[in-house]
Amino acid sequence: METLLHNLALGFSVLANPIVLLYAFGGVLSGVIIGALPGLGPSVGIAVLLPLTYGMDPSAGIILLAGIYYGAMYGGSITAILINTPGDSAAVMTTLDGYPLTLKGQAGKALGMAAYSSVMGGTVSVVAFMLFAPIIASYALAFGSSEYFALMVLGLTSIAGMTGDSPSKGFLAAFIGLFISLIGLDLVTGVQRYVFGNVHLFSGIDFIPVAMGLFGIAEIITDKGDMKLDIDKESLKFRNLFPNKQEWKECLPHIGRGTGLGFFVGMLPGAGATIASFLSYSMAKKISKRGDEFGTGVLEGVAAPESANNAASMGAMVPMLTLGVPGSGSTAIMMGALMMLGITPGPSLFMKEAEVAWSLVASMYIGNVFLLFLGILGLPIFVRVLKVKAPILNSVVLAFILIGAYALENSMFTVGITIFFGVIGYFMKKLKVPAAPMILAIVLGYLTESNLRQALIIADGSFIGVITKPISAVILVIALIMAFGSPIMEMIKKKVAAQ
Amino acid sequence: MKIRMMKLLALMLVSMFIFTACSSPEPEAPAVEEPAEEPTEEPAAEEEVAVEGWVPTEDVEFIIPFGAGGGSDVFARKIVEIISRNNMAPVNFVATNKPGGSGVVGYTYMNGKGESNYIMATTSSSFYSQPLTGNSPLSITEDFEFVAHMAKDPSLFAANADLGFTTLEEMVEYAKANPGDLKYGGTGNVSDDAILMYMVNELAGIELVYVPYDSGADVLAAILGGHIDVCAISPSEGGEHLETGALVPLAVSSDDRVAILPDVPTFTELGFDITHQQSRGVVMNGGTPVEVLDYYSDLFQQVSETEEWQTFLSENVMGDVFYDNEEYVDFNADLTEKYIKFMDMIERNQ
Repeated sequence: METLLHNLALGFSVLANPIVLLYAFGGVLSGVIIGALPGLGPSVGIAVLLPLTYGMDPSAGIILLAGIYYGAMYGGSITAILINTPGDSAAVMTTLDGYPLTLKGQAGKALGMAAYSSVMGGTVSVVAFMLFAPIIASYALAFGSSEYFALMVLGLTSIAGMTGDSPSKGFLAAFIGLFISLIGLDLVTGVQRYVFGNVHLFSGIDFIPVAMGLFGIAEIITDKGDMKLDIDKESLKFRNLFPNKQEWKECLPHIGRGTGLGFFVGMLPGAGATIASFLSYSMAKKISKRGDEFGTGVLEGVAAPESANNAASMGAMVPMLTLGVPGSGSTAIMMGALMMLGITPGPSLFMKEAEVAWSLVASMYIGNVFLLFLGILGLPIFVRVLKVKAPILNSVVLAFILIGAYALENSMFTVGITIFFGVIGYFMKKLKVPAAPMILAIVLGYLTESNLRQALIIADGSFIGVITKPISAVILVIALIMAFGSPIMEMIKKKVAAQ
Repeated sequence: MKIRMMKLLALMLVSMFIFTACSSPEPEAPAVEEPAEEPTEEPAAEEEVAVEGWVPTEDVEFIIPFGAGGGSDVFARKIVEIISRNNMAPVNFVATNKPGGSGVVGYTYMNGKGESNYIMATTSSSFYSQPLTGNSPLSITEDFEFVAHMAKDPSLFAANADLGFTTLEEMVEYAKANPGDLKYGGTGNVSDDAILMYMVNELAGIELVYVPYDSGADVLAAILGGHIDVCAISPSEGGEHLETGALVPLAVSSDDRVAILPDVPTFTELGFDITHQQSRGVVMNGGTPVEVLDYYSDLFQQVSETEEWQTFLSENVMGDVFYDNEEYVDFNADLTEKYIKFMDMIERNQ
């Protein structure tokens, strides 16, 4: 414990340098802005700002990049809640209840809850990070292809929780998503699948431009008629941003579970914040007493995914720093930056490069305070977005989406993909086909397939061998319960009642 | 209310400004990706060529056919950084990531620019494997000119420590006794990692089973978790896990032992005729005039002779192998031949 405090003190001593502190603040602020801008997600933001850190002091560089990462996790919720356009993919789930809350005139409360749950998820995760990082990192390695396959199946069951009114339409969207995830070169044999010789399709269709199209562009081109948003000025008063006692009571358990789940999923290399927020939302919907009301604007529906995605962003740094195994696109770029700065992440990072590692931990404490500060004080400014006239707001958002789509791969092809799915999204909206299952299916489809096939090779082709590994078996049973639990329970109840 | 908001807004703007102001004086910062909207300057460029001792007059687009943070990215950005820091060229080199299709998207993009003296790209193993497996519309010999070969990356053949192997022979013995039992992880399906495994399989008469992963990070996670038994990684990636003993190094694929692993034998020392390494160079579009290639080749030679470059190579455990534009052509012809054989070998085995 004493060494821990000593190390933490070492970390904070680096932060005593106002320039480093400014980098931390700058990172969080740019993260919130990058996250809020539809189209610019954390990985694009980090990639674009990466060259800035070359030649910087390593501590300052990594503190800046980390700030962008977790800042963006909160920032993404701002546009998700206010204009139904998730700022990044990890905020897709936040739209489901966040936007209905805005329609009810409770945008302030939703944004406030997003900020609190993000900060709480983040802060609790930093503590976990500090205390257990090296230990849990090695446990995360127990997840191999079979276990990931099971986890992805569990993720796919959460589609049931976001189908809206019509399950068949939800599954329609999910199957289209699964089809899209098949496009590209086959990982194992290299066979071209549905690419028609187009080199841009070789590595498949990334879900980020699809999400930007389905949620961003479709939202813009859908005729909203004369819908006017009334923001109750009272509701933006400082005191009213705080959830009341009843709301805290309802949300806190979800924040707690979201944090735990998010941190764990984030830590698994290859899963990441987007999947964490999907799982957290569907878990909250299952567990909550008013699960049926999810999707109509309940605060828990914002708290659960937002706490999870921030926790996941912290979790993702654990394997990157302690094992040199990045768990997400953003952390992979951060690791590249660290290597450029002459620091090799690995088991002894916290000893060899104590100053860098511990100043990063310290910066995450302070960064979360900055995040709270920005989230609460910035709220009145964010909400003003709603007062901007639709044509102006729409054109600005559209511009950012298209720029962001280009910046993903520096390619007009991704811009085309985004516009294409914008049009598809328009028709889906008109036909009331939900878009979230499609995104989930694209994210999970590829991972499900590639992990299953790796697992099958490792198990010498035995499917039984894959699903009977202890961890995968447990996860698959949970998935079965998630999928068939409630109808079976109801059948039993009916029988009991009939007797 | 309004005034407070204005103040807040001002505060945010000021802090943004300070933040950017603080970071902009960094002289090392190479230009951030620029949209590729510069017009192709074919006619003008061709006229300039005739002049003896060609010198660039426009910024050079330096294509990285992979994403930010990866091996090619780090490699290319280091070159750009050295050129700009030492004022080696009268123009800027603008590093641009064009990821997708294992590099094919980047090369096709460059090819689409036609005969330009101001666009070039980095190479890695997929420069060879993609065209040879029919997954690229471009031809290695016809669509490219070879500017300079900069480095070679050796692969490290390593095993999970739980298996108890300490040498390659022990692994081979076990594999002979238990055919198909050992699983070997690598990146992609027709990569250098796959080539290395099939070569070992052929030469030792064993049956390692190939498990393809998406990235080196995934391979590392899988072997550390004990899900696979052997793998190929870059020595710098494996670094600390070798020190902690979680991974056991069995052999390196370079010609000579690598500096950071002085005790690890090469394949050749162990009697395996394997010296396959990833080649990293710089290429331009086919038909680029010789004067232009000469100019850039000289420039990259200067880069390769700097101390910064040497430090970079040793930090990343890359071999210092410089070939100028003439030597590179021969080297490329040899390497292409080898890759054709490798691709046959992989196909036979899949």
